[in-house]
Amino acid sequence: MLDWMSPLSFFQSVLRVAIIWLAFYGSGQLVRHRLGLDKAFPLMPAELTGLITFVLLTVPLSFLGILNRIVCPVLMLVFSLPGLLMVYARFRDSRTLRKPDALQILFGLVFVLVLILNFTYASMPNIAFDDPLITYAVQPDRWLNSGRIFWLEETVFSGFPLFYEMTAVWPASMASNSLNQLSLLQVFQMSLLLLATLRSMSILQVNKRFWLPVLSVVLLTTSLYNWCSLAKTDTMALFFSTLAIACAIQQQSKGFTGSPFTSWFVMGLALATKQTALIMLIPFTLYSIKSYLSYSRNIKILAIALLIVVPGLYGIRTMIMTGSPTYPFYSVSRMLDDDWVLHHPEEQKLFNDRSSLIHESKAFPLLKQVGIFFGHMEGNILLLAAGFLFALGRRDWRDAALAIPLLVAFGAAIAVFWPPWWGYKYSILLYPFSGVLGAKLIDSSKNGLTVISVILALSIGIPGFVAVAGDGQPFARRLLVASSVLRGKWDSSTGYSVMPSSPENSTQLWANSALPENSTILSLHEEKRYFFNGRVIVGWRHPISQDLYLDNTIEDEMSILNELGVDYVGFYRSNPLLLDQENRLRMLDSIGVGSILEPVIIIEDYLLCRVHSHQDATP
Amino acid sequence: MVILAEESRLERYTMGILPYLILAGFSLFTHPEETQVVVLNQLNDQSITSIHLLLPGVNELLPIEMPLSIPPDESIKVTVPWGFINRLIFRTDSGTVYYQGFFAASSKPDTIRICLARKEFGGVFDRIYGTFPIAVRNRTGVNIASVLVQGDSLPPGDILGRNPIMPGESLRLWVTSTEPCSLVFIDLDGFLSDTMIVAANPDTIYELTNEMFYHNGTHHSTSDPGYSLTIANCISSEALVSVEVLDELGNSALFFDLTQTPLGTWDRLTTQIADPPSLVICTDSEGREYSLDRPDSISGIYDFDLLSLNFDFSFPEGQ
Repeated sequence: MLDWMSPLSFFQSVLRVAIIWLAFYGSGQLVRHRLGLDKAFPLMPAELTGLITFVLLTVPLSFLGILNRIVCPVLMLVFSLPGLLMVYARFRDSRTLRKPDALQILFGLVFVLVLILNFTYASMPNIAFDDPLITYAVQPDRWLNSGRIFWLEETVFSGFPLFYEMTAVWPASMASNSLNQLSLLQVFQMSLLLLATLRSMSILQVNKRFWLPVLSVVLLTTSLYNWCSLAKTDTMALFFSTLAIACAIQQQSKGFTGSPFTSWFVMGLALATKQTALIMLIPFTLYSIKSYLSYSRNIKILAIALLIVVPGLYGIRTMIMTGSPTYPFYSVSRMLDDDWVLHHPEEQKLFNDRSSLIHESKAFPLLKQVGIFFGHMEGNILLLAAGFLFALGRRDWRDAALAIPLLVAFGAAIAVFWPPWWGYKYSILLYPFSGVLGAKLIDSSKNGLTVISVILALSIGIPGFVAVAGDGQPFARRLLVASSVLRGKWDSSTGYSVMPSSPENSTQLWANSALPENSTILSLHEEKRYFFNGRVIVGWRHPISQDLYLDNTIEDEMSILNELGVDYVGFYRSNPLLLDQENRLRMLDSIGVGSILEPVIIIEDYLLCRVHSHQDATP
Repeated sequence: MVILAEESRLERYTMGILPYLILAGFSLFTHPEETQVVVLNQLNDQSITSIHLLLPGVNELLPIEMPLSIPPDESIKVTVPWGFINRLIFRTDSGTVYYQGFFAASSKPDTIRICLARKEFGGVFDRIYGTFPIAVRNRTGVNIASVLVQGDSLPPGDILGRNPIMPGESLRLWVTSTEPCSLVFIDLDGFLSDTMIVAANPDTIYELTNEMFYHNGTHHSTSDPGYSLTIANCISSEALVSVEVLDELGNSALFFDLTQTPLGTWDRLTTQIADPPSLVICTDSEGREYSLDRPDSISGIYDFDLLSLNFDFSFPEGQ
């Protein structure tokens, strides 16, 4: 039985994440009542208030140097107790629910199956995908190791925004080792998707009979199944932006008389989580504009202030460090300090431009690209389309108009994140809300439940068994993942392979055991750094090491390595760099015993070399 | 019936002529047997002195006629067979090898730029002294720093150069005949392997194994009854200071403290336990732990090398 793939690991991960949410919920309820936040933010769920409280708590803990794997879990456990009691009280009060009918039981069974599929998948540490292992899972890990939040010098991703990383400290602190840490962060992400959908339905007062099928449709969406099981910022940005938009719509409804600040503040949290959440400002603004114009001047100013306060704080921190508030993306180049100016190698720019000739094989015609975009939405776009048609059918123009801001956002997302075969991933923030809004528009219809049932069947049938727009996760594989996790052994007879590790991960793990503490590895191309306890500088990403990729002398290269304190250099032996970048790295002409780069170990073609100074190296 | 007879005659004529028509058609479009490729030397300070091709399905290396070597920043046109070429190998006057893999030589004029990006960084090391291949794979746990060869038209001394052959990588020696020749491999510590007698044969891959280095070390052994296992230190410049054997229940079945008599590189220890072990754990002089759950499939020996080092998923100590 694999220690990271077992029923025990799975249940432990789910239980620990449940403790985290109980702590958020319990502390959130206490803070709301004590500080009277119910009035200022009437639509804000208690668990979100608690989440924000815990994020704020990271700051004093960091100053005290006790943001670590002992203090944080103890705090979580302590606050989870009132949370547990409060949840129990709510459950006890709601026991008078009427008896479910056969359809609801069926929906319930489907939902439980979907939960098992999604959460077992999320509990498997994904060590193949780069992003969490580059930065998102790295920063919480390093902060907990040192007991404080600090600027991670080896990566440009230490700046704005950081709300996710400061939240992730809490689930990460409950982990038993670095592999389990990924599992916990991933399960936490999936729980965010679940809560985003559930809470937005609650805020919009969607018919409760629709909740289970809508939740199933959203969770079944292949792109969400894939992206929301990764330890990265997307799901948290999705969580905030979905809630913000739901609040914005609810705040402009006729019966709403409370304070309108919830939506503005929560949208600000989305912007403080991921820069690409900017795309969600389009529907948010369109949904908010009417009520915003009706506010008094002070309320208008306060709303905008609430929107920008949290991202602004991160921006100020980033500006103090680098000169530009939005570093490393969309940096204000005039403000940026010289030391932080990025000069990505041309080859890398070409590769990262997904519409460049290098990706010619995916230059599909416009219609297909649009099809790919909407195809990725699966059941969510079906729900939205059905809701829109229902609203048109009953000539409820006001309801039908609710779909328009989303349509505008879709158009903008297609254009901004072109081409959609790659850029669709930035639009997943729109998916759950599209489904929820569709359900809201359907719920006053007589045939609503039938339509939702059909959409649920299509959402299971088409991507699960027939076709899918992106990387498929057919039901056979999803079931295999679930059964393998619950049995604790991967069944390889099906032809599906378990998520592979990568040679650079293995090399980093090897290096942890073999190399002196606090060693620094320069990775010429691969970006992962999570598993190495020392420093991993990714050559083409770091402002100082990027100069290596210019046409330098070997002396210049060695001086850059010295400046960065590089002890080892890692790269794929048979093909060290992208395209022909090797031509500009003189050190690659000096690989050998006693040479500048002396090979130490090779793991599946990934080579780690010890760096000898130019003077020490044998000519 | 008459109509049928007419049809069959027409059919007969058509069928007779058709193959010729097809052949005639193809003859208009068939590719030439050879085509020209420009080779441009973009290396700073080396001249390209030879070019060889490895064609698919062909066992011998094909040398390309070059009137003169190609100095830096200059180019020449060479004639190569039309079609797919597995590997073009370029050798320079400094003895460095560059290559272009998977090249499709077509009628369209093409240029191969020989630059640092084309250098033989590792994987397969081609050393060309003829056209018949001898392939040797490094199955040891150590980096091979030098290779000494002896045979017809082979040069004296090391033929490898600085870049070592790492575990899993191969040396491909091209020789003039199928006559046997001898190879001796030297590891990073200067230990010599047994002499390997080899002969060119495209269907054979010789394997350099740890066993060929064991003679450099000492063999310690006990002679108790029970299941016998042998542990070997295949880590360059490192000594093993303890050996522990776990049984199937994970309990310690045997422990040797070797602090006073450590197992040096290529030393072996043979000992006996009651049942086959489930895990063998060794510690080196730096306190690093290595483990193996099974012996080498061919030798039956627990060969501890750098890759046997235990991966550690735990958080840094003290956190």
